[in-house]
Amino acid sequence: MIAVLDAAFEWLAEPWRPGLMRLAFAEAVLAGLACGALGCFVLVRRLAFLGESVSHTVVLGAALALALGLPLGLGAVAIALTTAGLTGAIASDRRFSPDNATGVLLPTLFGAGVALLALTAGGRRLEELLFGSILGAGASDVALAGAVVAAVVVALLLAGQELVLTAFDRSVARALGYRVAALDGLLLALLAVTTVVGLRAVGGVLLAGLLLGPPVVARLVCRTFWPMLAVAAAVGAVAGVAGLYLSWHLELGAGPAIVLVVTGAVAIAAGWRAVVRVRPGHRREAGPVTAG
Amino acid sequence: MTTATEPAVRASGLSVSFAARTALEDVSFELPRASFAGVLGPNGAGKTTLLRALLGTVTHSGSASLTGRPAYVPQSGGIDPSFPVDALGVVLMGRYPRLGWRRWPGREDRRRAREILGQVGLEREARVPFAALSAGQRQRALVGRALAQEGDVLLLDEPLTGIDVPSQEVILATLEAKRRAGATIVMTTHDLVQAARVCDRLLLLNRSLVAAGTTSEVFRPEVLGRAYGGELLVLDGGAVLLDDAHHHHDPR
Amino acid sequence: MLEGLDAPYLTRALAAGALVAVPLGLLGCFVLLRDLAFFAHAVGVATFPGLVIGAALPGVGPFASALAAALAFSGFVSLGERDRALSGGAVTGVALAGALALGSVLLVSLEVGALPVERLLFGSVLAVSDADVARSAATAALTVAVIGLTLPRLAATTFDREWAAPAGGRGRAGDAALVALVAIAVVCALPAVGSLLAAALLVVPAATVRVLTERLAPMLACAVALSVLEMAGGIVLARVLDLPPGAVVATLAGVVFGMAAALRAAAGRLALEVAR
Repeated sequence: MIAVLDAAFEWLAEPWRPGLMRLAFAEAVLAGLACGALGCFVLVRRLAFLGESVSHTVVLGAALALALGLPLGLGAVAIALTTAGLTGAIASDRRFSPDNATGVLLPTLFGAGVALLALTAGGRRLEELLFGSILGAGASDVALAGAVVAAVVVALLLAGQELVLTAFDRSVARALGYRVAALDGLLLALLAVTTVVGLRAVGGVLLAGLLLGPPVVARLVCRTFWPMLAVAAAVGAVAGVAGLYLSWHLELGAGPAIVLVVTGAVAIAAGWRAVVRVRPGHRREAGPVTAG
Repeated sequence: MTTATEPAVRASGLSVSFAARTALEDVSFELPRASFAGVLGPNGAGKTTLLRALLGTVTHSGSASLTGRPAYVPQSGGIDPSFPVDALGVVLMGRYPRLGWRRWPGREDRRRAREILGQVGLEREARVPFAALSAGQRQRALVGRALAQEGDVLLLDEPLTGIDVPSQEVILATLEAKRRAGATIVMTTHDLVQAARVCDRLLLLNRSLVAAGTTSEVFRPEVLGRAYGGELLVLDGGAVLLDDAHHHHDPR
Repeated sequence: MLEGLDAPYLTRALAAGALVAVPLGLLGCFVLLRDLAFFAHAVGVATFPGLVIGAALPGVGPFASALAAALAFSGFVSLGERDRALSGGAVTGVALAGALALGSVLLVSLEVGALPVERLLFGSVLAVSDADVARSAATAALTVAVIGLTLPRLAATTFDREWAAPAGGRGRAGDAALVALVAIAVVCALPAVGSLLAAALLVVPAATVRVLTERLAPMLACAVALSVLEMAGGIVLARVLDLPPGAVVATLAGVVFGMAAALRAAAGRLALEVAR
C-alpha cells in the first residue's frame, strides 16, 4: 500500500526536480490561463478562424524578427496586429466575408513566413515555431507570460463588463456610449500578446487548440460568461500541467501533449453533455450563453 | 392545371412544432383560385412557417397542399449579398426549376427574363450586380425570379417591407396582373391597412388561425382585436391603430 | 540553378500540380462563396495524422489514409458545428489542432523513423509519383463533371437556399458533395504542397478573380486558369530557389491577390476622377 503511494508520489514529483522543468511548468500554467481566458472572447465573438490565422501568421513575424535581428516577440505582435488589420480591410469590401479574408491571409502570410525561414537558414527554428518549445522556456519567457496574464487580469478588471457586453450585443454597447472600436482594439492587442506566449508554449499551428479548447469545455458546462471564463482559464492551466506530465513520462512532444489533453477534455465534456441531455427528466436544451 | 372550382391552397389541421415551441396549431382554411390573400399577424405568429408548410419544406402534421406550380419569394435575409450575379441573372435563376436543373437557360428563357425585367421596371439594371441594387430594386428582381417560374400559386413573405413606395406599387401591380391571369397570390405582411387595400381575402394568424375570410368579413375591430390583442387600439369612429413598434427578432 | 528543369520528377510534379489545380480553382469559387475557407484549411491540416499512419502501415499508403482522415474529419466537423452553442468555428479549430497534435504524437510513438515531417507539412517537388498524376487527373475529371452537371443548382442554392429548397434545389446533397470533392482535391494536392498549405489554391485564386469580376461564369473559368498558373509557377520557383513548394505557391498566390486588389483600388480612383 505504502509502496503504491510512494510510486504515485514519485511519478508526480519526478518532473519537478529539474530546474528547466519548473520553468516549463510555470510557462504552461501561465499560457493556459491566458489562452483559456482570452479564448472565451474568441469563442463568443466567433473569431475562431481569425485566432487560427493569427497563430499561424506570427511565424512570419518571428521569421522577420530573426532576419532583422529583432526580438521574436516584437515581430510576432507586429504581424499579429497586421493580420487582424488586413483581415478587416479585406472584409470591409462587400464582396468578401471575414471567412474569405482570413482564408486569403492565412496561407499567404504563413507561407511567406515558412519560405523566409527556409531562405534565411532560420529553418532550424521552424519546428519549434510550429509545435512550441516550452521545454526551452527561460526566465524571461516566464516573466513575459506572467506579464501577459497580469495584463489580461487588469484589462478584465477595468473593462471586463464593457468587453463582455460588446461581445454579446454590440448595438446596445454602442447605444450605451461604449467606445466599441477601442474595446475591439484592446481585445485584439490582448490576443496578439497572448499569441506570443502561446507560440512558445505550444507553437503556431497548435495554438488554436489551447485558445479554443478550454472555452469549448467551459461552454459545455457553464451557462453564463464569467464562470465560463474562470473554468476555461482553469482548464487551460491544468491541461498545461497534465500535458507536461504526459510529455515527460511518455516522451512525447510537450506542445502536442498539451493539446491532446485539451482535446480529450473537450471529448469528455461533449460526452457528458450528450448523456445529460438524454437523461430522463432533463427538459431544457442548452440555450445561448447569457452575459450574466 | 387547376379546375375552376378546386381551391388553389388548402390547409387542414395543419400543425408545426419546433423543439421548444409550437409555431402553428391546427390551421385550416381554403383559398379559391385567383384570390389575393394576405396573411397577417404579429411577429412570431407563424406566417413564414405557414408558407414553408405549404411549400413542403418544413415537417408538419395535418395537411397542406397547393394546386398547381408554386413560386416563392422568401424574405431576403438569407440571400448572400456578395454572390456574383446581376439582375438579369437573378431572374434567370427562376427558369432553372422549369428546365430540370441540368440544362442552362436558352435564348427563349433569356428573352422571357428580359421581358420580366421590363415588367418590374428593371430593364436598365439588367447588368447591374445584385448587390449594387437598392432594396426596392432587389425586391423587384426577386419578384421577377418568381415570375420567371411561371407558377400558378405565388407565395411571398413580407415582400413590401422596408422598400420604397414606388417599388411597392410596381410589385403590387405586377401581382395583380398575375392574379387577373389566373394565378393565386398568398402574401404575408404586417401592414394591415395595405393588406385591406389590395387583398380580397385575409388570414389572421397568431399561431392558430384567428380569422379567415374575405376582407370585409375580417377587417373589423372585434375580429382584429382577437388576433393582435394588446397591440391594437380602436379609436372612435372605428379607426384602428396598430402598435407595430416592437419588431423583435424571430428566434429561429 | 536552372539546369535540370526538364527532369522527369519535375515534369511529374508540374503535371500533377496543374491537374489538381483545376478542381482546386473550380471548387475554390464555391469555398469562397459559401464561406468554407476555414473548413478547407482545417481539412488540409487534418490529413496529417492520416499521412503519418499511412507511412507506418505498409500496404495502406498515404493517399488512402489521408483521404480517410479527411473524410472522417469532414463528417465529424459537420456534426459538431451543428451545435448552436459552439457555432462560429470553435469545433473546427479544436478538431484541427487535435488532429495535428495526434499526428505529431503518432510520429514519435509509431516510430516511423526518418519520416520527413517538413515534406508532409509543406510538400516537395520530389515527392510526386506517377500514381499521384493519375489521381489528380481523375479528380479533375470528376470535379469538372459534377460541377458541370450541377452548376445551376449550386449557384441557386448558394445565392438563396430558402428559395431553392421548394423549387427542388436539394441543398443538403449539394453540401455533402461539395465537402467530399474538396476533401479529395486537397488530398491529391498533398504531395506537392503539403497539409498545412493545401487550401491556399482553393481560396486565394478565387478571391483574386472575385476582385476583378462580378459574374459567376467568368469567375469559374479565370479561377481555374489562375490556379493552374500559380501552381505551376510556384513549383518551378520552388525548385529554382530550393524552397518548400507549398510555401512558395501560397506566397505567390498572395502576391497576385495583392496586385489585383491594388489594381482595382487604382481603377476605382480613376473612375471617380473620370466621373468628375
